[in-house]
Amino acid sequence: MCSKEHEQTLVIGIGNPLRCDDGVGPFIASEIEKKNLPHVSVIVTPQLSVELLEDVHRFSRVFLIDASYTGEGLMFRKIGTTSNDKITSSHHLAPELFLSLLRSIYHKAPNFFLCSVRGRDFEFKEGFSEDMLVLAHKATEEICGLIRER
Amino acid sequence: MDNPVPDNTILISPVTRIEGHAKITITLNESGDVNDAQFHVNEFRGFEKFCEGRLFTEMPVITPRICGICPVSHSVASAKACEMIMGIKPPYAGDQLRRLIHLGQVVSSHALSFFHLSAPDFLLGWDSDPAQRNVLGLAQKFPDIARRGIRLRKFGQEISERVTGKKIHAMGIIPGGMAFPLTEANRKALLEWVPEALETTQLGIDMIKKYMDNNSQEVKTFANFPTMYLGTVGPQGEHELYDGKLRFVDHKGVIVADQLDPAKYLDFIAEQPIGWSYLKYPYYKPYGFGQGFYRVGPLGRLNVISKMKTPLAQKEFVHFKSINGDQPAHGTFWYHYTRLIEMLSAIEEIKTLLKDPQITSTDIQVRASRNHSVGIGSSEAPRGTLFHHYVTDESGKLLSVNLLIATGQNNPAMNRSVLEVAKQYVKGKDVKEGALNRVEAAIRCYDPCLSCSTHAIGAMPLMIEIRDHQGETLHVLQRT
Repeated sequence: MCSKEHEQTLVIGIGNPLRCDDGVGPFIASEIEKKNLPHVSVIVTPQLSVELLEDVHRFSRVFLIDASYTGEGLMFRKIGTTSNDKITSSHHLAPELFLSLLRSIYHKAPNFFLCSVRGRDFEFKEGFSEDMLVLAHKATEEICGLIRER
Repeated sequence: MDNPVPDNTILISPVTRIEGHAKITITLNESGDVNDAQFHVNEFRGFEKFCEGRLFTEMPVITPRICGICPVSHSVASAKACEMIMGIKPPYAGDQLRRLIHLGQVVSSHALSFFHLSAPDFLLGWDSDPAQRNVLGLAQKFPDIARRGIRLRKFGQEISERVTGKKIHAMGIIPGGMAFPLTEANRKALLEWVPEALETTQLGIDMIKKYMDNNSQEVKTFANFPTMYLGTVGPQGEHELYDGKLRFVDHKGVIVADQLDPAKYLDFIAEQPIGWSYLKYPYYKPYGFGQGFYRVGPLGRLNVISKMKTPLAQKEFVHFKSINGDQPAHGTFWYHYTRLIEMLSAIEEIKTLLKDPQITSTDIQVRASRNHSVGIGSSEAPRGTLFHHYVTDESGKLLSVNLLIATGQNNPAMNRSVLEVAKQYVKGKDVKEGALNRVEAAIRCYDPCLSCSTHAIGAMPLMIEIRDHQGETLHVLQRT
């Protein structure tokens, strides 16, 4: 249960379930949604695109969940704004640029966290590689814990 | 900017705010003036090849994955090709629902192109600091415009979401019609967006007209060269984005072919492979390679049509036609203006469709199996005319696939545009950033999607290389 009842949290699961481990973000987001935590909304999206700003600006805390090509296991970090403000693709934005746009356009500065889950297989198939499901459940519990903490 | 090559070439990389991965080479003559320019596309994915062996009915679901910006156009062209194989047409409501989603996608794509990819050039200035001349710089200086652009794009995507349940890669378009009807609640919700969408588009038109007035000389001369044009038209030659026949006009606006059946596209379009790029050179077959190169997309469409279908867009079209005395406007910059006129038209048409009592009908699909071996479908994607061509065996498996994509058809014109701009702004190897951005901007006018045209994966860093008359690299320009 949230300690601050008015706190609005958004969980965004990013990825493509047809690309094996890349689908871990949407999977974790849907697991969190099943828990029906109060004041928590969930979005699943293939990419972090500019029009999502219209959905995100209403929230004070945001968790992005995405598969990673690098690192190990689960990795959490707080996202800050960026001065590297070039957009090289119209399809997606980096989290830092997304937050910077949120601040510039909507004058909002939510607490923005990225949970990266190390993937091993990004081929064209459904399901996860070995151990990914364990990591996904671990991530679900840790994010729910963070949501409940405050 | 770095210079890792001999002191003989200029290279710019990446070309920003476009989709895909590409490089420009500018070749100088002995005097150091620009002699030639080549737009290279280095990626290749081979969508046509790996679709072979799939059932043709899977194609409206597979091919939208080529692109996250114009998936509906692929889906529509694909479904039409499948329907030709089946020998069926969708029922009225299914057809109108497809039209609605397709127009929504045009709004979404054009809004992104204008308000976020190109507006930094107009509002912040081509010669402004490149560190600020981008979407974040725009958001910081003009937050209201940036937000309006975002909401306009969202409106377009919401149409897809409210009909099919998905904003991107909508799965509702199927051979024979639509998989899902539009509910009354969703129809009403979408109608509520229309006034704001119209207002934002009018704001964009005011913006671009003001820019054109204040920069008339540059706008007139920017990559201005005569070509033919291709676009889809209705029976009276009116603007048409979803379904119609094809019209070619020459550089003087004379209609050289009209009411052509898209299914016969191979009779009038041929492609020439070129050595430096995975993008081929399409051309109007009767005129041959060299003489028959044409442009597609918003400028192409508005240069071929006789009129717009909706009143506000028609009013702007009259203004557009006055630019070059009723003849085609050849300046590449006009792509931006025509994109906005098309957006206005699309929103007006969306409003009409949403007021059609049949739009919520559940009679939206018909079924059939394979009755013919070959299917060809087309649609006007945001960037231009799109063709899907399938050949099947008796079991319905695909023997061959040909996808003729808008950006590919604009390839010769993009090369020429780069050349024209480079001639004007590049002198020798000492090139200022503002000039390089104009070279990039010439490509950006076409809003190219190289992911579509080569069916390639990846973002779009682009490099500009300047070579001397002996082919030695003088300079490489590449943004990090």
